Amino acid sequence: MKQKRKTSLWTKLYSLALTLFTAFVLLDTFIIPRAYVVESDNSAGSGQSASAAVSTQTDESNTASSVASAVTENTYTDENISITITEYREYDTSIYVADITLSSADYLKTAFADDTYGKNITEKTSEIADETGAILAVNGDFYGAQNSGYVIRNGKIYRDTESGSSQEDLVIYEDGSFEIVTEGSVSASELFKKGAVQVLSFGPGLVENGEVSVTADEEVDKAKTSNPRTAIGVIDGLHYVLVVSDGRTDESTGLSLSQLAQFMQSLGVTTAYNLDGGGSSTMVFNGTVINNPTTDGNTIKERSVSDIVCIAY
Amino acid sequence: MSASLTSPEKRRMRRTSLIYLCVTLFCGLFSAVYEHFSYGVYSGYMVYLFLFPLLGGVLPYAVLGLTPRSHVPSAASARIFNSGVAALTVGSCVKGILEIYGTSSVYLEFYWAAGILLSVSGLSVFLLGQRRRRADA
Repeated sequence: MKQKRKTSLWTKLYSLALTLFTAFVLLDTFIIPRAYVVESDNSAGSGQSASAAVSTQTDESNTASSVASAVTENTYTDENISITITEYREYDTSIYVADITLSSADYLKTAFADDTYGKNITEKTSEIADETGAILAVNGDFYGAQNSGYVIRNGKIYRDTESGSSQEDLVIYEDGSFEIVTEGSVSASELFKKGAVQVLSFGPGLVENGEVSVTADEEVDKAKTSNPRTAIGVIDGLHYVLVVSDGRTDESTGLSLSQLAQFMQSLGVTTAYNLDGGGSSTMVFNGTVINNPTTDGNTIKERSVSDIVCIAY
Repeated sequence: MSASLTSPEKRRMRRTSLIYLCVTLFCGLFSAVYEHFSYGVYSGYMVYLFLFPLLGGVLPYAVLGLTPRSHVPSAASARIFNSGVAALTVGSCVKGILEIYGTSSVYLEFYWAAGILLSVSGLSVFLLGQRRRRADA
């Protein structure tokens, strides 16, 4: 009897400990917000804090309000920025393409949710776009879901931790050019020294030198499945495309990575890169969500994300 | 039927094996349902979740409960071993959930460390007890 009671006590205590620990792991991973201290001081303005770096954008956006612009439901044009949104229907899926021409690479930006670099700090793409004064925005790489992977944003290194030697990152340089690199081949600090102002760590690269770099055979796991997708590509110079596809609905199946890569190539891009997809895939133009983002299954609702890629002053 | 197979210890082994079988079936069902709603995102840790209770529980306890001449583990060693299998099973489940979401956690290492440590300790206590019994005989 005594033995049985002892066993029961151990089982109860161990089960309780395992349950509490698991609850903590899940809360830490998905719920508890935590702002990170920036690892290094490598930034254009040395000594800036993470929020200070993003605040600069807001200051700049205030000065941009004086720029005369022509805006329609699908277009935006001013002296520096030209955007045209076009909806395509391919692979039984609605695909939204923002064709962008800029006078300066400075207008291709990124922004964090709540102006803060951290874990589980999220906002909807439309909310971050609104706070940043973005004309156009898509979801970024959801860096906050990972503990590693390079993060350089708006000319500042936030994370220099490699997530895997074969992890493909998109590097956007000061002149607006794109390069796809593997984290095993170069560090974030080296990229920064080479002039990287943005590094996005999701992937994979879709198109390199005008050729599709994802083949159907190379696709694994989630890549093979049709899903909502977000991608960014450069056609030439300061001519870019931001692409978001619907998916997981009766109206739109979604795209595999191979299909997305082929579609990007058909747009004429020289380099294209896959960003966070699934429920995160969202495109916002002039404050309006253009696509049908799916969250919690096939409910049409925006998901909160860590970061966005945007066109803004 | 051998007399030893009807002993309370052997029956306890078979009962434990049955409990593990239920856990195995639950894990298989859970991972199937979870993967079904994961839009084609797979995690080996979720798909093969059932292997931990199957290989760490159903099979060893079935062997102990159905082989007449085998010794059965003490309550203490079984408790420690079961705690290890539980940590590995829960750890695999959590890792699967995180992988499907596309994230990770540094705390996952604790599941593997605790699971392996407890399983090996439980097994060691059992084997040492067997050795002592043989030496006494």
